[in-house]
Amino acid sequence: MNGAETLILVLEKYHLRQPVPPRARAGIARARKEMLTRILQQSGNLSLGVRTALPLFRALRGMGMPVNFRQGRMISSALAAVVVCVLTAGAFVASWPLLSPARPDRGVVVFATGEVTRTGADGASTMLKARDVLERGYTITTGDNAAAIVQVGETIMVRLMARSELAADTLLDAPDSAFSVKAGRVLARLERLTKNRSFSVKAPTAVASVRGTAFSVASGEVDTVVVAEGAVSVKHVKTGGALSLGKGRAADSGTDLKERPATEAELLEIGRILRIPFVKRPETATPAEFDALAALVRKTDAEIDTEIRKFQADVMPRTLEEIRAKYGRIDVVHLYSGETVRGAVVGRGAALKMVVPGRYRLIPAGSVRQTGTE
Amino acid sequence: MAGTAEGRDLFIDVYERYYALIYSAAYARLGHEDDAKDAAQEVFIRFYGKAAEVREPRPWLYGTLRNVVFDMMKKKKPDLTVGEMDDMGVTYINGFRDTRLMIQEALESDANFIDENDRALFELVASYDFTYREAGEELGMSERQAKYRFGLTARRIAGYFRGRGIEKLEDLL
Repeated sequence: MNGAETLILVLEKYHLRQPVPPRARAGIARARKEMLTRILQQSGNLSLGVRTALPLFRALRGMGMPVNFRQGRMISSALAAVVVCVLTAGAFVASWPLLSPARPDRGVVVFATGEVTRTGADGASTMLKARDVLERGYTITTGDNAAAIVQVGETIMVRLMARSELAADTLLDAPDSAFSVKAGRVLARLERLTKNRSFSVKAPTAVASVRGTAFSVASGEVDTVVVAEGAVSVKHVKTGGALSLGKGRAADSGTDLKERPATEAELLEIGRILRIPFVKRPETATPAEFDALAALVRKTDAEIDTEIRKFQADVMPRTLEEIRAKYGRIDVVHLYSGETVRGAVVGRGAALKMVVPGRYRLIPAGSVRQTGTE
Repeated sequence: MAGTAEGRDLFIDVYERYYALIYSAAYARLGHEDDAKDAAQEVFIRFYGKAAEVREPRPWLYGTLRNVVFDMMKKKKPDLTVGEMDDMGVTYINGFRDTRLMIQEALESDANFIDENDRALFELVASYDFTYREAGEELGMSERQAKYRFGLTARRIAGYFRGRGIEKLEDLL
């Protein structure tokens, strides 16, 4: 028998031990909780803070932690504050796409080369350079061999090619961010836009609307929309006719819309913007980041120029004009049959090898009555 | 003061520590669960307004419980006296009263307990037959902690008796 057991027997002997039966002991914990709630309620002291802190306080004590209620209440408040902070941070992160910087009301010029000017709503013009801003109502104009890239938030990138004019009708401050191409050609690229937002580029006769894609819009005698990625909805301004263009398709808009396959050269051109990454937080980017981007744009342009030249060298001319452009002349071959063939003679021998629009043609030398050049 | 947050916090601390003890003491006197709950409730309602003023809650709570229990018992037995109530169920024989008083002194001595939790634990286990687990749950300690601390207290009380010439606890049996 140990000391503790002996002591209990001693208390028993001297009537200092009054056992409470297990049945009565079993209800103590519940009675304790109920009575405390009742007392605090009647005294008007059962605030939400106390209600919240009591279970935690009991749980901590149940785990053997020597805390008093005040400490339990402070721990409970701290935990509540942490929960509130976590929920607030979660809500902030979740709503981040709806807040800055995804909803800026202005664009930032991330690249400019050559003569690029910005004209404000008041008509004042200034030379434009990287890091300048573009606000709603501004117009950008590029000169010969000039180019500019404007980024809006981290979702829209627009590149003006040489001899082009672009107006910012609305930026991300409106549900539909809209640019107008008044002259020249514009390349546009979009990352996914948030719900209920769209992006459109307007040419004099056509409007191209998208949600996430890469495409180009050229304004001229015939406005042209070319799609390199995703899908673009094109609408004719006057006739109201609409087309949905998929990847690799193009539409010419004159008196009406005409769909056709995009040429390799047109698709390669869009690579000038497709291969350029978005600048993270362009409004606060460092000069070094803009310099790095400019170097990348120049390198990409050089690569694409080379690819286009190579393509044009390999490609079979499809019109007499293209034949003239490629060979510098148009050969005219009169046959004894009375037929006249126009193209470029690229080989002679037992047969003449001629490039005619879209193909080669071999003409037996004996059937040639006369040749000449236009 | 109890209306303030500080008074309320003090009250909750005391209530959580002593409720089981006061309930058990009331049950030991009244022998009925509902009566014991009523008595404990009355004691703590009275204490609520004085939580911040009472320096030593345990004697105050026991003193108030004694009055409350006396009032409740007197309703059933109008001629009851306080002395009769205190001696109820106790039969005195030679030397019994003195030894009992010495043991009571040992149980009241602050020197034998580290703190009030220690004393409450001892009373729940030794006087009211709570298991270590039950007493630990009431006082916010594990069963193992409760057993360890009870053992230390028993040793201190044995030391107290040795100081008074009783070498072994068995000598008191």
